[in-house]
Amino acid sequence: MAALLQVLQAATAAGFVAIGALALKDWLGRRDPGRGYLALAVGCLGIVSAMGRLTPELPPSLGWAFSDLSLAIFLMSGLALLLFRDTVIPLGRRVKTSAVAITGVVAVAAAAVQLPSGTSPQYSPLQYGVVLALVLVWCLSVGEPSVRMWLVARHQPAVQQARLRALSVGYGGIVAILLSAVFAGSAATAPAVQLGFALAALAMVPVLYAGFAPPGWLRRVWRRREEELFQQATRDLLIFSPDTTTLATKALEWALRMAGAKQGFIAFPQATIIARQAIAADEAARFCAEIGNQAGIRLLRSGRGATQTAIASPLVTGKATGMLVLLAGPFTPVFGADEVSWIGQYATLMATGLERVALVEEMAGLNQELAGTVGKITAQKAELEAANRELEAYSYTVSHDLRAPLRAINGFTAILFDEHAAELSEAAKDYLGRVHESGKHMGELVDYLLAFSRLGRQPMRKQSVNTTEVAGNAWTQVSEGLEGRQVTIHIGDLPICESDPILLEQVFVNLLSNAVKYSRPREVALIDVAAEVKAGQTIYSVRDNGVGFDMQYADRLFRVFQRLHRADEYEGTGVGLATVHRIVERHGGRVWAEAAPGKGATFYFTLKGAPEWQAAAA
Amino acid sequence: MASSGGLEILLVEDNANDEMLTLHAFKKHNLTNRVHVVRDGAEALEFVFCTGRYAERHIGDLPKVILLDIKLPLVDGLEVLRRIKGDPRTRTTPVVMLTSSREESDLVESYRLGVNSYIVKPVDFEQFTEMARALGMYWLLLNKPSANAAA
Repeated sequence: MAALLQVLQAATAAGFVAIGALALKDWLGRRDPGRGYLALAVGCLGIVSAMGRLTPELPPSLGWAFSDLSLAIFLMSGLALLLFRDTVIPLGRRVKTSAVAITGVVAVAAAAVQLPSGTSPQYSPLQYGVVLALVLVWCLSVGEPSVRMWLVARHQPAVQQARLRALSVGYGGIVAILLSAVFAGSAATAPAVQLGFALAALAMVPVLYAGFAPPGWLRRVWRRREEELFQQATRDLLIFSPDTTTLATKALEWALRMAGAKQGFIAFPQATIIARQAIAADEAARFCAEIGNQAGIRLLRSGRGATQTAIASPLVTGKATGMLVLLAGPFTPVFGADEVSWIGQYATLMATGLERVALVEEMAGLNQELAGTVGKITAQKAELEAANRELEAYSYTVSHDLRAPLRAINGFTAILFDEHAAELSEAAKDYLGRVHESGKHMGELVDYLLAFSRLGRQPMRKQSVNTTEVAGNAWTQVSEGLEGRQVTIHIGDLPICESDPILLEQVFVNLLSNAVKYSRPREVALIDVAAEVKAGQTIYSVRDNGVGFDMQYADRLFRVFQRLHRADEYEGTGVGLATVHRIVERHGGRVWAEAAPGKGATFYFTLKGAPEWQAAAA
Repeated sequence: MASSGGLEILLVEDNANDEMLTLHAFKKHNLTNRVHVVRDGAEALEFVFCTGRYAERHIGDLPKVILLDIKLPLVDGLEVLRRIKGDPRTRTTPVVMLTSSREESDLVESYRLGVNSYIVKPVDFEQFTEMARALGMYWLLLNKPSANAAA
């Protein structure tokens, strides 16, 4: 039984030493006051356990000094835990000072009364009182933080909560054992009770270990509850956020909740802070500058001079980079590797979310732009329609009002000729003849102009058309009144086309009339109507052997009222080719000419857009 | 002829030149004896419906044909046409649009309102004279009016 007790006590001591070493290592890794006190508290406990195992081996001369030292360290372990609690929840200056003073007084008193050492020491009443004070002070120093840790754990993320509770249970257990041992009095010396105490103390080792450095599997077990939370957060991030700010705010909330941190911010892109929580804008900006591009766990110096642990995870999207920064709160003094990788994963998802939102925003912008453009086009269309209506009213006026005076001019000159010729001199008749001719010519101009303006407004009735037949009909019209002319016409085999047959016939009529008119000086006029297919496009042509024209004026050919020949040489209004141009254009085609003075002219046209080579040449 | 007043043509024309030319053409073909001329749409309506200046006229005393311009002062030709063709007392009187307008919409609207004929005034005087002759010949001699028109 005694041997078993020995083994158990040795194992417990070894356990405490090991945990102390772990805590020390943790503090050496990241030196902030909280970790320091915690390492001190646990380390001291380990040292006391180890010393307790050594005491019986020492010579009695050293015994009392050794015993005093061990008591001081023991008291220190309690005070350190209280101070750790102070870094987490400040105790208040007075409480803290009193705690340190009382601990000091008790330690001095313990040294002064020279407490006996050994397995079953005999105490004088004074000594007993000091021991009691010592135990009470220690128990209060440790018990209060234990209870406090248990209480605050409630609002922490799973791992943090479990760790705090483990620390709380571990310390609470030790306090309970110690108090039981002290107040149990003589009963405590019974071997069975001793064994019970030893077992209980040993049980505290893994509990405390779990609090300090929980293994991965344990963390996973603790975290299971939060997996669902994580999924929810992810879904929120990837699907439901309508804009960058909303997404960032939500994401930050989730990240804080999952890491158990209380402060944090998101800088994206670069140093633009788009979301922050429980931190001032300038403080966030300062931290952001301090972190720069270096991700991972960082120690930051706050404005008030205190150090804060932060975890920075990069947010990388295709277009920009940013940073998710979570600052350790009072109860998240340590971030584990697990939290880091978890937050890292979350940051990656967040970056994806940001990218998606950016795309959505861009699309919304484009849509708005498009709506604006559509609005503009609609307005322009309305404007055009108004202009068109105005033009119609205009041509209506022209049609009605311009023709009435013409009719008067023609009518009255005709009456003068018919009924008053005898009263007129030859000169008067000549002048009157000129008035009459001019009136007639103007009448024609008005009629052509009206026909031309109507061309642009009439709806087109496109259909499959036998082009050869249309050209033949046009020739039938043109060839009327060609008495005394020798004209040889050849109409080739023209491919069927998609067009408005009436308008197409007008094209051929105008081109053929021109060919006939300008070949008048030739003894035999030769006219050739043909078609060829080039680059998949049919090009129709009307060639004559007439007087032709100088190509440098070719650009004026197709404009209304523009003529290349004097009216007394070749009659005409200057509307024919303009009409051809307008009809061809309405069919989506092009018209152009090739000619040389005295060498005839050839007019070409297409009906469905000009081929590339022609557009480039024109 | 059933019409007691013996009126044969009502010419509604605001342009004095056109009126003169039309009358000249009618005269050439001996058709001027019973033409009455009014110069705007309102006067035309007063004449047809025997109101205002024509209150003493009898509504049954209708011309054989009404020659109506479209562009008229006060009340336009299409409105005059609509009123004549919309009234059972005057509906059967033949109305001929004699106008400068070649507008498709005017043409379509006139026929929709029940016009009997639509003629675009030629600019050329020879054609104009020929038109006047043919008009008079057709509506005064060849065409047989409805019995209702004379009632």
